[in-house]
Amino acid sequence: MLKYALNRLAWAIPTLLLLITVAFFMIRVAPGGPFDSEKSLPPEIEQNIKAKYHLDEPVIQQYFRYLGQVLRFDFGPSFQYRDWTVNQLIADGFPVSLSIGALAMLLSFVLGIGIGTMAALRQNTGLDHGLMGVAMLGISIPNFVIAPLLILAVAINLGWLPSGGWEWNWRNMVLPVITLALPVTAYIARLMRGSMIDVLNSDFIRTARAKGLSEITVIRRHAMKPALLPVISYMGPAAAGLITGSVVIERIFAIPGIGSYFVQGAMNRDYTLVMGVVIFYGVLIIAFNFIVDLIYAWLNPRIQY
Amino acid sequence: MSKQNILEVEQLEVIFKTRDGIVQAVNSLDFSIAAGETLAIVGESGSGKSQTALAIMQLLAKNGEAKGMVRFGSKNLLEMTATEINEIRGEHIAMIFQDPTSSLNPYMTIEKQMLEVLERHRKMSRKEAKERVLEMLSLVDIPDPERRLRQYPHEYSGGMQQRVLIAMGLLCQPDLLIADEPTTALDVTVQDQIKRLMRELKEKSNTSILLITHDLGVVAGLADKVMVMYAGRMMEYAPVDEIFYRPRHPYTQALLKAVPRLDQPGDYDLHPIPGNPPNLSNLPAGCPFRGRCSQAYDACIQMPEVTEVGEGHQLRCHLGESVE
Repeated sequence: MLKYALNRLAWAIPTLLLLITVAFFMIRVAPGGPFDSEKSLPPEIEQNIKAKYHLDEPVIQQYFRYLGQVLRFDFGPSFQYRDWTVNQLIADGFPVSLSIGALAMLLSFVLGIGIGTMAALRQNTGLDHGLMGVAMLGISIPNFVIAPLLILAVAINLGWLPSGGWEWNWRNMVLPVITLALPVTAYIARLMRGSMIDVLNSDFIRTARAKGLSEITVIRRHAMKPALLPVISYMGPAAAGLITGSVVIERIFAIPGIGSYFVQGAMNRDYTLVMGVVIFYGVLIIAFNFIVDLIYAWLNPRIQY
Repeated sequence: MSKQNILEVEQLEVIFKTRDGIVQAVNSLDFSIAAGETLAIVGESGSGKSQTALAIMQLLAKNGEAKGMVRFGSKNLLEMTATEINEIRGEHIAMIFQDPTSSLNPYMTIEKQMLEVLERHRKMSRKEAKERVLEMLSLVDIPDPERRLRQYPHEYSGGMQQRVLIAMGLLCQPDLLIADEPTTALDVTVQDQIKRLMRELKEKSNTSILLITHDLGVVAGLADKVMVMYAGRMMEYAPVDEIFYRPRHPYTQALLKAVPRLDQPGDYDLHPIPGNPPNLSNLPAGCPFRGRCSQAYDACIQMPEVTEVGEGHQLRCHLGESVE
């Protein structure tokens, strides 16, 4: 187990290196630069700025300089927010993104499992078809459509909740969390329904029933865990989905999370900010998948690392 | 037989609603099992023998429906509510299945899976329950049961898994053990162990056994009575010696002949029954076996009635009628 964990951690290093390399050159290939603006600066000043940020060096040299910085966990100064380092921006935005993402994850996990189980137990009834129909919609409609519709209905027409902005307050969290959670809930519900139906048809469930256990006990004690396994393994990618999903959501709801910084950074060609967020996302996704694998192994006695 | 019948099945019908229409898996079946007696139901795949067993326990698939009378004690098992049948399952009637590997929950230790039977049906302390479990595991020859209890099913071999399932079934000393093809999924040497184990258990305890099988070797060693089923119907029903030494139905005769014999020199050929079992959703009129029967004649267009052709020997065949 420990050996497996160390092995996985070791593999994270080349993965991240590849990510850094691709992102580093891609953002520099994109047209425009961080200090382009409408009115052109005098060449001396432009030269000074570039020198300050080492943009005058050959790209390869910049690349290795950046790698050296990253090794020291220093993502450098933001090109756009001059008084801030990228580390500060991430430290500032991450708690906001994390709370929305974690709440959305929790909500979709609980709701998705509940809905999926209910649909499985009422397989091929009106309830099942209704729930799965709604879930299909939840998966198909992109969140940049859901978000404005929710804002229009709940914030503008009903006036119950703010349409955007941020304070550490539940009222500001409801709509973004719902928007983020919706597709993930729908996906988990469909996944859970399918796996629960499979498990309930398996031989060991028949054995459990033949013991005289009540149906509730059979489901709770015998069916739940194996039915959850596919959902657990989806949690890694789902976490990634929530993180990338929040890029759009934070923009729409004007929430100062890392997603917002990421979008602004990309627009402004804020090389260091974009790189910092990409690496941070990369580490998060690798960590989530790692944790999910550990949980999976812990739940399934047949897996031994 | 003078002994008390513990299970009486009358006019049992099992139907399945499928996309291709209604399939009649079991048709007007009558049989009974006395205390301590072993009844074997034999037949090819699809003859309805497993569905008979599942119907008794109300364990049919969702699209299946059982009608008729399955009298156990004073009640009809088929009319019981979920709560009532759960009092019977595991406590008075236990069941073991064909494929031991998939019949044990892979995510639970053997200990948990065995203890929950006693938790459900017996008021005993955890310590007493564990002792009972250990006792049963030793009875079915699981070595080092103390350590084995903490393991998961995948750490057991197929034969050991089946022995665990048998031990699990016998925890509450049921009146009836239904064994649905208990040896089919195992390899031959292990089959032999399980057969021997079941024979021992039968001799030691007074548990009645309903044995579902297509292995006539198992039947010879274990059964007191045999029912031969074909296309959901009883074809022949008789004490075990009658079936082996005086089989009356052409189907029974063909089944016996199909068993490879190594003790008769010069005859190492297989004698399979030609043709395939009929499609249950579209049964031809008359005797279901007539298409494959070597002795079929005009009368077989009509479904033969069940006739008594000897002491406790019932037959569904026109040949039997004509003899009388």
